[in-house]
Amino acid sequence: MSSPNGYNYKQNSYYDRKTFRMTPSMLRARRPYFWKNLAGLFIVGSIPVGIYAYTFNFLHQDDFADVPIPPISEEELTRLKKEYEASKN
Amino acid sequence: MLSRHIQQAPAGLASKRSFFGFFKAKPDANDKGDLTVPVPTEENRFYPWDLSPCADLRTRAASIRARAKCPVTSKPINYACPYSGIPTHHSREAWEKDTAYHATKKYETLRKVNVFEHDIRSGREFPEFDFPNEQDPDRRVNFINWDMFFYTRGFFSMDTEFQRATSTKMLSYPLTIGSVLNQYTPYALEPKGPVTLEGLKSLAALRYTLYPAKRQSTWKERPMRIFILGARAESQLPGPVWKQLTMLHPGVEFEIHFIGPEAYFDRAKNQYLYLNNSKTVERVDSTLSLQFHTEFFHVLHEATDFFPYDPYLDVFFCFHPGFGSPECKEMWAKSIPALLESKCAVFVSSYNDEDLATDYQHLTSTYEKDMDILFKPTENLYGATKWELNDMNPHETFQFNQQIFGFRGKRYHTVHKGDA
Repeated sequence: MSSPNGYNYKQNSYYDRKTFRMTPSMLRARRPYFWKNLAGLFIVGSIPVGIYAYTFNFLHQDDFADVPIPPISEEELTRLKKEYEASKN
Repeated sequence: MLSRHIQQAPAGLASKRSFFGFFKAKPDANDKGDLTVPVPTEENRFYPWDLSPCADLRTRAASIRARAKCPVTSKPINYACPYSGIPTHHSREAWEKDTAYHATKKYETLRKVNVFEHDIRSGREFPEFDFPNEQDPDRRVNFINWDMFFYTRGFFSMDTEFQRATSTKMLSYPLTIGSVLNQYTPYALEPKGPVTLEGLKSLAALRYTLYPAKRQSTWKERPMRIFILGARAESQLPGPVWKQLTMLHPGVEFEIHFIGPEAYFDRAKNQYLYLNNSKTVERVDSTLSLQFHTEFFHVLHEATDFFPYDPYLDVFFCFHPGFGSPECKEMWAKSIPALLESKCAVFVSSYNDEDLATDYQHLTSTYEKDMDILFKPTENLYGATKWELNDMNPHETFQFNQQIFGFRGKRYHTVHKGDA
């Protein structure tokens, strides 16, 4: 059976019917391009990985020392500490 | 425990299906062939030719024994090499002494000859002969090698070397032509490839015809003619095989002319026929016709049957002509000047390196002043992958269209204007 564009999908299956893996013929055909394709994968893949790494690195440089902490009294602090110790035991 | 292990070990060693294929030693004669297995392997297609189930291979083995000479002792051949199953030497001693035979691993090539010949006669299914139809214009054909061509063109997935061998032997003829002429040819210009500057001029002219969409000027309409000189096997190929060539160039009309005394083979009578009328035409479809001429080329050339030649529309191919071989030299002596006179590109293929060297030497030494080299001798990427052997000398193995080169009659002469 031939499809309208002349490509015979039934006969020319370059993927194994059961395992859906590439046939030896297709692997042979693709062999001359294997290393270049792999290099291409690394170049193209390095763009999103680079962006992610840069963002991660940049956000970790943020200094929160200037963020004001709300004031709290001494009694309040000791009470809270006690509460915390009690809940722990 | 121990005794069980000992009992199992020989069974494991004898197992035919070796899991660790790389540990396997040289193939040996104990392999039992079986032609009824649908999936061919080297093991199940191997028989010594003397004991082959195919009568014609037994006859061939007998004819090798009768006609060929042992390379070591120069006596008649009387010993079949156990690795290849083909009679190669006079005796076992001669076979052992032939160090070159073992050092070059010639037996591996001969074994390939053996198994390929058995595979063709096995009667298995040949799905690789279901050729694809017209190429979708959106899909480019890649000519880098056979595998890529099959894949991009949409052929059957040829997974084993047996399928490649049977199909490339047929397709080698149209594809050798197609791969040289196509604009996406795998052969680059010098110094990266074999095509010389003169060659590029000739090929550019031919491509002007092959790609009508890119033409700049009005064009006189006549089919492109491909002349195949000294045609033998190629003239017996069925039309659909030649259609594979024209499908690479949609919209161009082709005439393929087979010329030579062995150009027309009558299957019913099982012999080559001499055609009394000038030619026989077999029209495949509206864009392709096959024409058979059973005269020598120089006879037709002198009778001006093909005039006028046009380097834009005509190209010559000679598949293994043997220009320089002692048997054929005389027959070509008149045809080569006629070829050079036509000023059209001529491409020549050869069986192997030595065959090519003989032809090339003969041409360059005899016609040096009258010809330009278009295509330096090189390995043909679209040669057949099936190995063959010469019955007169089983050590001479070859492949159809293995090598290729091209030449053309010189179109102009440089003129010396004195030494001043």
